[in-house]
Amino acid sequence: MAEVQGKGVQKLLAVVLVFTILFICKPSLADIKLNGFGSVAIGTVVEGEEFLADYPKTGIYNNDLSLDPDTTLGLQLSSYFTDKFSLIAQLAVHGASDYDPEIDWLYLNYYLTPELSVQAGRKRLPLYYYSDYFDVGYAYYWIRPPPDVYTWQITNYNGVSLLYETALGQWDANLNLYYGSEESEDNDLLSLLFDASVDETWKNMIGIVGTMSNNWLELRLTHMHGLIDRKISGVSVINDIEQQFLGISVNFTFDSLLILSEFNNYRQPENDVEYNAYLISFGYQIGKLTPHITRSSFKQEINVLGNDEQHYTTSVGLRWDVVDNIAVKVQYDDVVDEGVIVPVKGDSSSISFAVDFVF
Amino acid sequence: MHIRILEQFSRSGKHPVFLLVIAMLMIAGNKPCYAEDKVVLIAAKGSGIESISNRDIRRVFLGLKSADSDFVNKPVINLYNRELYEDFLKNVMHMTEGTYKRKIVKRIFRNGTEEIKEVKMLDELNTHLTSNIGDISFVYNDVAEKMHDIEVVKVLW
Repeated sequence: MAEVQGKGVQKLLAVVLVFTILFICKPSLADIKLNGFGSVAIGTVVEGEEFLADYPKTGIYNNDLSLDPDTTLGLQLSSYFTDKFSLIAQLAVHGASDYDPEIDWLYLNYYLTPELSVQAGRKRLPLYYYSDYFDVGYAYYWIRPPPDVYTWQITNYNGVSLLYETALGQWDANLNLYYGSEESEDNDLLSLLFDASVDETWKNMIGIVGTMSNNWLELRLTHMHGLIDRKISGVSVINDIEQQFLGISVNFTFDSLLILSEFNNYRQPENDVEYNAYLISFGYQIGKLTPHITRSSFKQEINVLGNDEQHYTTSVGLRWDVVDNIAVKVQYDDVVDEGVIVPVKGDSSSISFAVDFVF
Repeated sequence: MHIRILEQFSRSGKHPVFLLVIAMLMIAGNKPCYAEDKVVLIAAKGSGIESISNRDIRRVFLGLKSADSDFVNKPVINLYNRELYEDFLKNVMHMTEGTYKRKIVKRIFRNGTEEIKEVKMLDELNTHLTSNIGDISFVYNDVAEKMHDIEVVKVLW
């Protein structure tokens, strides 16, 4: 058996030890709540050479067994100063980022009314359906959300947001408005794709996310508009270029049958860049087991630069809810990479196992 | 006595259907029978909660604020009886336990909301509700009648 690859196995063991202690004896103070989540995953490519499992953090499996691409551990601290005013902070370590701690969330939340709240600080950029809890593997049945769809290079923003949650007849509804920006030096994904150091800034982002749900149906619509600056090896190649993101998710829950879908369109009109991505997935709960099958795809229209990134994936997997807050997963992913000028990692088949937990 | 009869039948092997019926009756006899019992939503006496729809109860147990009443505070999941909990998820939340757990986890890590309190003992539930006016939970009606300073807000089913 191949030796398990790990950029920082010792670092991971130290983090796992801390998490084990917290998992067993979760500390709780009167107005401070601590929650944790983790995914310890191991996988390998069984056919082909490499599998890009996590685009934003560039978690890549190869022919060796590896712990790094999908392993994530995180802690969330919620401090309630009053019933209306709280501070939310989330710290996470990712194997794909060499287990260096990163602050994903750090914001103040204030309830203006029971239904309307305002947030200020650092948050997840809510482009996709699973954006907000992308790292919380326990919250979905895959080992990771389908990579073809989650191809974002910027995952957070610093700014302000308004969240309105209400009931409309038989529907729960919420509306999230946000404004902010994010700078990423030596961006992981773009530096991989361009094979050079890339600095990326998304600024003046204005977004809206609307969700409606009832007992069996959930609809989510999202739109973001903003500007991009990009430097490759220190040379400015994009400056104040407009970008637009439009996404729709439709999810059904028919008792034990789950049907999940997501469709996204991204455009840079001035640069003639446009791509479409989608996923459709079926899961069926049989007691504590949830087998599932998913098809996802990414297709970039050929533009004047000849970019033709195209790939699709078929995934089958099984989630087993061992106990209340621990799930074990196994997943097989078959990737077909049809990009000619811009291939990502080529065709591959891979298998991965994960243990997800929350506390 | 019934064990001896079972042994006799199992040796002869002539009455498998009868054996099956007896086995089923024995299993049913050991299972608590709540089919006739009403299930009610409860809160501490004097909570001020006058009416709440099943739709709103579902919202509250998903961690959202009540839209029907300002007096409703937080939900408490009663795990004293596992069958009751599963029936509550089926009849009121309209989802499986797995789906419910995942929805709660999403909300905790997306909005920083508090976990929903779970209790496994009725005494603990009684004490919690009387100490946290406006918190709500669900029990069988006959259990509610035996609890102290607790009122029935609504019959759920």
